[in-house]
Amino acid sequence: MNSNNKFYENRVWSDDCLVGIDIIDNQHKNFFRMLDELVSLNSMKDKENEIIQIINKFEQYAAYHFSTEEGFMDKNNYPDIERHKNLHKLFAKKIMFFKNEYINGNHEILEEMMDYARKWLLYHILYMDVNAIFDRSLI
Amino acid sequence: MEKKILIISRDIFFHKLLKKLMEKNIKNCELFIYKSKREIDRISQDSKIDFVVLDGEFNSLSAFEVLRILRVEKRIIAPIWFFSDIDRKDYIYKAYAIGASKIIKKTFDPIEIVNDIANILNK
Repeated sequence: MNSNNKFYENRVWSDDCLVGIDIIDNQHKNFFRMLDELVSLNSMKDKENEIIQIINKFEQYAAYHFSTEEGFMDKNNYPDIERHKNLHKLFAKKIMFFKNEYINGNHEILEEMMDYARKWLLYHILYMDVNAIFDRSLI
Repeated sequence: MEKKILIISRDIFFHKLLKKLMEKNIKNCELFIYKSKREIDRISQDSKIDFVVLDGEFNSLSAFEVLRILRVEKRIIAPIWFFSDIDRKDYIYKAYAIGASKIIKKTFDPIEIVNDIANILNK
């Protein structure tokens, strides 16, 4: 992977994002790795098909990750689970919207999608996951 | 000299998040957290404040009313960053008109925001 990628390797990820549960931390990191792949591909010409594949992978991975998190919340009787599930659904819906726009030829939207995904994931991890769900003091 | 930062929000996770990141990333900062109208009333007029983070509404006060109190009654001249879920244009214009220095739409990148605040305070 290109070391100049701005999202995961150089800037975004830090120990602040660790929830302390390996499976969740690794899944979170994988999101940023996929964003890095999109950054790299977006800087190259004629990579539309590869970009769509990564967005598909990102979508599928989000569904997988959210079900892991929701399983954890269920198991621990997390009180705010419905709101959290709803946030997951909204994110999935928004990514699907970006993907469809991209497929329909609006390639400029990719930057917006990456920015949205980065902010959403970081806020979600730092605000919801680290603070609330996986805060051992609250479980 | 320590920078005095007010975090005004009734959301415990919002405080926790910003407090943790600010203590780590902003040198010499002193944080004051206000979670209710009663606590906001205790902010002393004309006290030296360097930065205000204002998040959303309180039970008995709208976010605009809190903003007005800070600017008019407490005479705070420091930057006030206004965090909101709402991004309607009329809402944003109103927040600027009452005295917000910047509007931050949730969801945001918390690390980026805290770094931006650090840059302002270090100028």
